[in-house]
Amino acid sequence: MTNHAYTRFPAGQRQLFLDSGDIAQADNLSATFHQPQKRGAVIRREPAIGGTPEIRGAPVWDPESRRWKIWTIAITPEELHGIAGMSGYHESRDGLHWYQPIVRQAEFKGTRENNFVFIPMGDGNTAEILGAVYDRGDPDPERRYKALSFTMAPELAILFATSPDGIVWTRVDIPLIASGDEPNFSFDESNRLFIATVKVPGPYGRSHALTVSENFESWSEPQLVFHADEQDQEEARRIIAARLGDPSLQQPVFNHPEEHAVDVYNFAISRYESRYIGFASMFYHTGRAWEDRNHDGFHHVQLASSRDMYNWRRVGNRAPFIGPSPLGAGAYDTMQILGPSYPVVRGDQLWFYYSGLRHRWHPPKVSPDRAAICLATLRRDGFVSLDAGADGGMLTTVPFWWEGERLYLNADAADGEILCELLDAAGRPLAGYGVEDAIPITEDGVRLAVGWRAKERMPTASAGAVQLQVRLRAARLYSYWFE
Amino acid sequence: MASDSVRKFPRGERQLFFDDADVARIDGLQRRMHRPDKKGAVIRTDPYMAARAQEDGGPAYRPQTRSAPVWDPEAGLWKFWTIGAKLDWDNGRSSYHESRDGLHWYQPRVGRLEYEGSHDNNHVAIPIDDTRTSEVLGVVYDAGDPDPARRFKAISFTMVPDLAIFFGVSADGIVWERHDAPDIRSGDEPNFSFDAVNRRFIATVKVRGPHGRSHALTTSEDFAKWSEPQLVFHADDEDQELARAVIARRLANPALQQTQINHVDEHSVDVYNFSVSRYESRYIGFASMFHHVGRNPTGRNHDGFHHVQLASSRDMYTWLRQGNREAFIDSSPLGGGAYDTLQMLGPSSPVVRDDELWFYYTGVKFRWPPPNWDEDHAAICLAVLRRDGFVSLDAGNGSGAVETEAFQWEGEQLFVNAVADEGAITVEVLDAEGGPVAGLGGEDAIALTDDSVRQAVAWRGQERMPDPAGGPIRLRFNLNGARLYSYWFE
Repeated sequence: MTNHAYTRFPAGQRQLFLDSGDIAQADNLSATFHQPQKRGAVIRREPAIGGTPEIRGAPVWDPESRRWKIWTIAITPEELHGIAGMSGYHESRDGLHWYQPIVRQAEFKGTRENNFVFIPMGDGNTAEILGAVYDRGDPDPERRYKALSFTMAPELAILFATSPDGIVWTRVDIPLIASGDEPNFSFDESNRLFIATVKVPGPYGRSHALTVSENFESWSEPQLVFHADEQDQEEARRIIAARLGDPSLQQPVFNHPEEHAVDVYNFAISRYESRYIGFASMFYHTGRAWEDRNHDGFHHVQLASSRDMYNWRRVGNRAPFIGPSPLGAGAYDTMQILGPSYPVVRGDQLWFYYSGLRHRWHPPKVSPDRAAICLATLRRDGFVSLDAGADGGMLTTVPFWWEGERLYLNADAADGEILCELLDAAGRPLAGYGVEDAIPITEDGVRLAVGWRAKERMPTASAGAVQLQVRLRAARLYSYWFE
Repeated sequence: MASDSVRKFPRGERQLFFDDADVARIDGLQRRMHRPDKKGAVIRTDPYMAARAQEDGGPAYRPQTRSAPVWDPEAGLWKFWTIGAKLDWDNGRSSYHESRDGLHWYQPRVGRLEYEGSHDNNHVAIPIDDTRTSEVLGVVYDAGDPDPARRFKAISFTMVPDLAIFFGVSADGIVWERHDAPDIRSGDEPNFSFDAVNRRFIATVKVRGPHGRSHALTTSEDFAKWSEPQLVFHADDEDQELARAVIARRLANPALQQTQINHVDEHSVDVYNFSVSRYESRYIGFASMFHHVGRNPTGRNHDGFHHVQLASSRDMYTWLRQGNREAFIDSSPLGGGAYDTLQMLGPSSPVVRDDELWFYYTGVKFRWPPPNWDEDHAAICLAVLRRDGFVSLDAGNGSGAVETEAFQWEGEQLFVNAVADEGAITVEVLDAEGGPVAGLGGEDAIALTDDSVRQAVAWRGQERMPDPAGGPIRLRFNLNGARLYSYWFE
């Protein structure tokens, strides 16, 4: 392998273990997939307004007003007598406690004293703010906020809008992109790439195509990138049967075993460190609803990763990243779950905001308070760890170039030890960076500096590409990077 | 049961079925206690307020509340106080929260008190003297106080010089003054409510009792003089027996949070907190039953868990346990993002929100802290019940009837809160001796067939009640596949 082919790790970009692409060898290590810890509902149905709050976006930090902003799907077109959708606009100082500012943008039930915001469609109709991002790099302060929306007329399609503040929106005058409902939107700031997924028919029902834009004007031709497969169908039959036998979980109203199947209700793509991640809301069909073309059923959210957004790898052997909450805990994500759009980095944690619904097909006498925006949190980089037991294990990376002077780990070695060694591209130890020189790491931390007895800093890049060898004993490694 | 000649139901006061005091006979109906539907956490730990460990290194369990939210009609807002930063034993504080809908709470920056170099926080407190402050524990709004500076009234608690409760007053719930009245000796865990109908302030204080933590009652009509605290609620031998079974079931249930410590010989229960409030024609009490699983290794206290029981009373001194001592609010299972998985401090009083009762209570994920405990371990939780929905008389799929004792009443029309959409309810008016009243009998009754918290009762040709001057009457409710929660006159 020639030097120029080696991977280059930019300074500060964390290297996770979502795939084995950067691993040369792993000895006696097991990869553990971690689910976030649920925190419950943070935005509920406002009793005076009604609606069924859902999101297809993540909160956005506004550095000028110093608050978090989020837009929920608030009122359905039916409730608005066919003038299409509006979003509920919410603010928070801490991301946990949300309130509804009165923005007086739209009249509803005879008053403008509400938090509704919308994208004007030019024909008297309005559209929801489905997913919004903050683009600090746009020189025009009127376009700092960029949003994706969806229309059903004249055809099913996505559209875009911009705003200076997230409250007053202007539609971007570009052609519609044909789509089913359930689009998703994110912004890869490091590559200045806007990313949207659109729902399309696929080989196993609902599937998702990708379209990207560098300038928020011209978008690539949507290309199918994610769908369920035959293995999903096999697992779905087992998952549905297990659920129907578990009285601690909300049960669907309809069950027709011959219709048990799964497709992908929503697929959200975003950049996370050196990879793209995708949240697939897997929709398990339990049976066609009475007099309805649609299915009753429930969702799990699966995690997938990709280097290019076109080829996806399921993470955690297709286990749920977010599964259903049990009944009796006051949870809303007991039946339908629409996965997070992307994680929000909050200090040492990742915060995932997602939609939870208590039913799909409504049982009799269901409370209108049936949906909420839910929060789950995970250790930063905490999707997958490489774990060693008491007898130790070792990771050796492929050779790489790097930017930055110090090596850092996100690891838990509070009950064990981690030793790091640098090798040259041929696998020979680098003098002074050997395992005998390594200062043991014995802490649990998301940012642990690695040092060697005589050296704190990495060698100069002129010494050539290196490999990192990490020896773990009773420890868990989440990521490594250079600063 | 002998007819009570003085029984008189005021206009609008709902008559529930907590007890048999107003009931002459029940045929074929089952009395059932109903649990509220949990809605999860509504106020969580302030992530910007660094979690300070207590002196023993354990966590300070925050947020907690010993209050219910208060509607401020002038501000058009709900206001709420949680136990906040305790800087030291002499400087307790509360965190002040506001909401427009009671679901979504925010923390206004009130700028009253300095915390870690800044006044940019929602801290409020009752000054004890020039140097000490205390928490705003339980708050009521007294619309009838002529002095607008005393509209908000709060109970608080001090440990110096003695364990005692005292009170504060405020115009807005934010700026508090200590109320000039003598302290009342108490353990911690007081509770406070206001019976606006009878203009009576109600406080409970923790005292020792025959089975550990117990609770005494003190009341005041003028917020100045308080009655001598009198023991009114404690656990008994039957509770101890039930507790051993409750604890054993919990330890065997992996869906529930487990305690860190388990000493079987110490399994027992006492009453951690007992809140008393007026609800329609009765008083209700929420007893936070603390199930001891084992003594902490380094502390005098116990590891354990709570569930909240419901009790009712006509006089606040004699209490009737509801639902055969089963939990009114029980632990949430793990895995659902709930905070009320181990410790639970019951609601202070229910908040009437149209057709519902909203219960705000404290949930904590552990008691004796596990290793690597999470700072986000406590929250103010909400549970919601049908209005008057504590106890119903149920016919199930069959039929049955309840006949009241004779009573006098105010009001022209009878209403019921009932579920009858898959059955029917008819109402007969009887004279004081149980004889029929012409035109208001079962054959004249128009069947009620809705599920509604307010259904008007009528008879063919007559919608109104007879003239109350005609003397006491009885009511007979005939239920067929239906459920009755309450009745009243308007």
